[in-house]
Amino acid sequence: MNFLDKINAQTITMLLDGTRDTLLMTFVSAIIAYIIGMPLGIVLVVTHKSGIRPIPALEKVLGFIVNILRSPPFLIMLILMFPITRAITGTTLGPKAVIPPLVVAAAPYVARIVESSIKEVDAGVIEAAQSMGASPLQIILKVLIPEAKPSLIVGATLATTTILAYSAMAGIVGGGGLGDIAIRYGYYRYETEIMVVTTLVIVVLIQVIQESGMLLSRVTDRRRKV
Amino acid sequence: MIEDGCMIEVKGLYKEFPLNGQMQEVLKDVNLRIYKGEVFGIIGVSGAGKSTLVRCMNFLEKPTKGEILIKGKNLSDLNPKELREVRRNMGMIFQQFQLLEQRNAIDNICFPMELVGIKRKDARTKARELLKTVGMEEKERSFPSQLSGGQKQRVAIARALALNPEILLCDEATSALDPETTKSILELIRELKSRLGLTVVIITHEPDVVKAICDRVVSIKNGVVSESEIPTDSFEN
Ligand SMILES: Nc1ncnc2c1ncn2[C@@H]1O[C@H](COP(=O)(O)OP(=O)(O)OP(=O)(O)O)[C@@H](O)[C@H]1O
Ligand SMILES: [Mg+2]
Repeated sequence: MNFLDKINAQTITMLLDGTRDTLLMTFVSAIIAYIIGMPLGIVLVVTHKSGIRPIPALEKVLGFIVNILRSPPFLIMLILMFPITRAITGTTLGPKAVIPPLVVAAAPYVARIVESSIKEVDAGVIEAAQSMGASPLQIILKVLIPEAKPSLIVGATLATTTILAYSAMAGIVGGGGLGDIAIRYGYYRYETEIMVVTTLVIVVLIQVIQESGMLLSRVTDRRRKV
Repeated sequence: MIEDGCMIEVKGLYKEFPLNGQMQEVLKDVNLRIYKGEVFGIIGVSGAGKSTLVRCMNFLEKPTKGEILIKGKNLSDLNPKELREVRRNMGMIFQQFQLLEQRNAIDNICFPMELVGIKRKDARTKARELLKTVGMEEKERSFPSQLSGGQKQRVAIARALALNPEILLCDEATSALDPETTKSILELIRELKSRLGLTVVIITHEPDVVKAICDRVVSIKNGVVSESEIPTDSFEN
């Protein structure tokens, strides 16, 4: 049997739709996860007992919540979230229904990634800003975020590729997108070729996101020698 | 309030840090009066407590006990906002320069002006003037990674002066520089001091620095400050 026999116009349309759904799920989830996770990550650094606005009790509580939300495997999270997902999106099937669990799984992960990037900012530079009379908010906006930018971009790349991989996992519960196609054809219908091609598309997407993210981080980093 | 021209007064200052579960006294009963227009040196070996002392002067470090008065204002009495205002009157430079790596020279100098809401256009005009003052007008657009240590310190000095402070605190500002560069940076500080009437506090472990620039000096050892003489050349030989 010829491998390419299966790759007809219909399959290509299906793969394109799958790619669109996957990218949509991934980027919408990533953006919402950052809207929640980025401030959370910054708060974790700033309120740490060695931070610029220490509130150790708050930091401990938030850190604990983040750890709990990060603990369950994604598939379990997906299932546990069914009622909430249904309440928000009206369904538990398709790309739309994968976004809430993806966000809940990714936001704490994003918070930790952002936290570690922001922590890399040299304490001496922060202190210099304080010596110039910078307020905590000014330090966050004008020192921590801009100085950590290259590292934040690397983190965002990592988060986005991880979310994409998770979104593919959601195929197992009919989540739509490429993962769904791979499972439907490869696992339920033994059409291995389509599964392989679909997986290849996922690999390519991850490569492209990864490489462009790293490139963006490099070209925006002013520490490089020109 | 400051009839005698005392810019910085340190009264009965103690500072403790926890070390292995115990409190370690890093500064013990430090008393100092630093006057307008002088270059005041504080010399001591590594670990003596020099950085801690200078960091107490602008409350980057809060004293365990004792008082810091800047132009007669007791820093312990100030709320965070008032403290930030006092800090703006005290420029500070560091051994490791502490420039923002993602900003070029001119934007680093604009940084403190942004903090107080000076318009971008005015800030840049002032920053250009300062770049010229420190001899760096050619390097306006260079990023810190593209500058030598001495050049970075010049930018840092320009930044420290951006808000026209009356006081300049220097924590080992030349310790990362070679002797030639050290000399040129000290000359620059000396010149700026005369021109702007700055009060300068110099922290160092190098007798040569004290000799080159200080009007008065104290030495610090194990957190205890004592009067000291400006070293003379016979000291060296
Ligand atoms: N934040 C801190 N927490 C705990 N101990 C500290 C802290 N800062 C300073 N110390 C301790 O205080 C002592 C004095 O430190 P300080 O940095 O003031 O010394 P220094 O004279 O500036 O030394 P150097 O020339 O090496 O910079 C040291 O023993 C140091 O370990
Ligand atoms: Mg020191």
